[in-house]
Amino acid sequence: MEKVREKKTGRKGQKQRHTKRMYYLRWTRHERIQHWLLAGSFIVLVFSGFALEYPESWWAWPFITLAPAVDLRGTLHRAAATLNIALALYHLLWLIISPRGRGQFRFMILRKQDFRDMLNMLRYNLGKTTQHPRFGHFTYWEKFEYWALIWGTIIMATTGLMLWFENATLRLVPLKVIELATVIHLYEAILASLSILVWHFYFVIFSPAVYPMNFSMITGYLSREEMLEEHELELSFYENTEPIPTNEPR
Amino acid sequence: MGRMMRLAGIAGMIVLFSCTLCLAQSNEECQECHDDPEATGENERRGEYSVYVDDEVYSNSIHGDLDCIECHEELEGVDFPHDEIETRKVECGLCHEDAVAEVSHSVHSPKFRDRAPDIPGCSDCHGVHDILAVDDPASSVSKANQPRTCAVCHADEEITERNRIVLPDVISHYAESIHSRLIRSGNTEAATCSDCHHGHEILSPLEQHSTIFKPNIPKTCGACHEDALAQYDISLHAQSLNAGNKDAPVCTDCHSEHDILKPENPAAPTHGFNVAVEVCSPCHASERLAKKYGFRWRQVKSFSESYHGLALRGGKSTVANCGSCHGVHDILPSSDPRSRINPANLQETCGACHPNATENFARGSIHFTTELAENKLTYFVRMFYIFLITVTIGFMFIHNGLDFVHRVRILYRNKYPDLLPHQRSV
Repeated sequence: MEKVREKKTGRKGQKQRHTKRMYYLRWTRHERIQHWLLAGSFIVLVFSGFALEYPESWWAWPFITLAPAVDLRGTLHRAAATLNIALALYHLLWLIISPRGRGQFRFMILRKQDFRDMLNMLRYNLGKTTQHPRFGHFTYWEKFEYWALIWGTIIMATTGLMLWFENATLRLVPLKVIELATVIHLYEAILASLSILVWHFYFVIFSPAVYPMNFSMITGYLSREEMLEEHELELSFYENTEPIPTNEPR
Repeated sequence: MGRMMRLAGIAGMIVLFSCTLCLAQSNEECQECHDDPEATGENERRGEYSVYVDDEVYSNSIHGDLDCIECHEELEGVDFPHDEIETRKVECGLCHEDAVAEVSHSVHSPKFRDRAPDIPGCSDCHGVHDILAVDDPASSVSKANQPRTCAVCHADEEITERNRIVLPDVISHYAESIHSRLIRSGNTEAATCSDCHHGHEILSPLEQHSTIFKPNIPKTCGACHEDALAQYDISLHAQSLNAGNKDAPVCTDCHSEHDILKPENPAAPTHGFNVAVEVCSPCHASERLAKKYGFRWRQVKSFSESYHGLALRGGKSTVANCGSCHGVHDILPSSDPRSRINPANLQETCGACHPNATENFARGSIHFTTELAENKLTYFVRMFYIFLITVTIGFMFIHNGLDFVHRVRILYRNKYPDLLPHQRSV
């Protein structure tokens, strides 16, 4: 598994600085593509979905003014949903068949330690202890978020498909179930959107530790400082093995 | 003196005698004076006024064959110039008894003159010497010209205010209507003012013989719209109206009055996009009426919040509006076996859009609300979610807030190591 990589930068003939800096692979290109496809489909789903629930809001104008006749909103929502579900299925397949996926999945499994970490983090932030919890490859907030995402996707895809193919659904179940699916789809959407906004965006954007953003989902790498901050246990694991020195990128 | 008197007497007798001889004053004789466009008369009522009569206009009018004195009776046998004779207003009722009788108990009755000074007489609508047959397109009261003729008063701001005419914009409203548009495009069947209001017997909507008295409106419209009337007659609205409910809607309550548009027109209240808000809401979202008559007043709200309602509000035209399921003119309660929303008929009603609809469509309410009484499962699931969202997002705020504050404090301490809050001098 590629964990540490030498970054060679600087154009040809240019003098390279030789400060030793370590870069740790966080996300492979393949994982980053998955993330951004998910992010894209999620944003489109949220926008086109809440535009249905709040049709008179100012931000729904593209759907209201541009193309009411061709149902741009519904078409976009279903297109993004298709991408989202396809991605979820692909992700599942990847978790099963790819060694990297299986490895990442093993890191993702929730353990008691994660809940202890969370409590310790709260205690640390409240000043009850000076001991900052040390995290491995995935912090507890990343794990919680991942599993919430899996759960949310299952719920949203199930209820969403029921509502998309309402005629097929109603051949099997009474109208009451459609009511239920409608309510769940709305409230799960509110929960998911707020979670992304409050939880995910804090850790990758608004936290003073990473602001303006954690670039690893673009570059794929974390610096040693960043590793020390959020993945100290993983870092110490790497540093017990032989680290590969790299040149500082420009 | 005596001789003079006798002479005058004889002269007078001769004049009188000659007049009786030429009793039938011909129109040509009148026109000797009245053909002059400059000719004027004067009286107390009208001051100085033109007495010119265009011979050609008159002879082309519907009365062209009549002699002047047939209307201007008081001038019969009077020698010209008839300065001394106080000319009277022509009494159309001499021939048109019925019309005058109808007008006399209409809103235009002369007896209302003290209240409404501008009440029109016959000539105000029909003209004077230029009266044409109603079916003559050039007539001032022809189908196409009526709105213009009525507009003289009914679109005049001063007159409508002075005479307390309740609806001041009827003419401009009518001009937008499908009726007006059809007439202007040459359709002679479409309704003009008198088709609904009657020509002479124009009555207040409060009079029970009026064509626009609420219970009579379906019949008035149904004169042309027979199919709609037949459908309306079986509806709960009609049943309720006939049972004496003055809140029950008639045609105009949904279609509006003068500015009636085709339901296909997006500006029409009966258009699919507007029907819930503009047509059904005023009654069916009224808590007062719902309480009075015992119907559920949240139906419009629950529709607006359903997928159908939301998508409709968002501009999707293919989703169901009120009329798609309830029908339009023949709306019946779900308890009626003929009703489109009777559970037995739902498969067909829903099936219009949802092919092969099964009986599952009837198992649940399309107007579902999240109230406990309606659907317990939905209610508890929603409550659970509200609880979950509050707790989860609340926890996230606390968790991240603490982290943020802690980090900001560290940043501050590193940036201003000598300026910790307790060291700051005041």
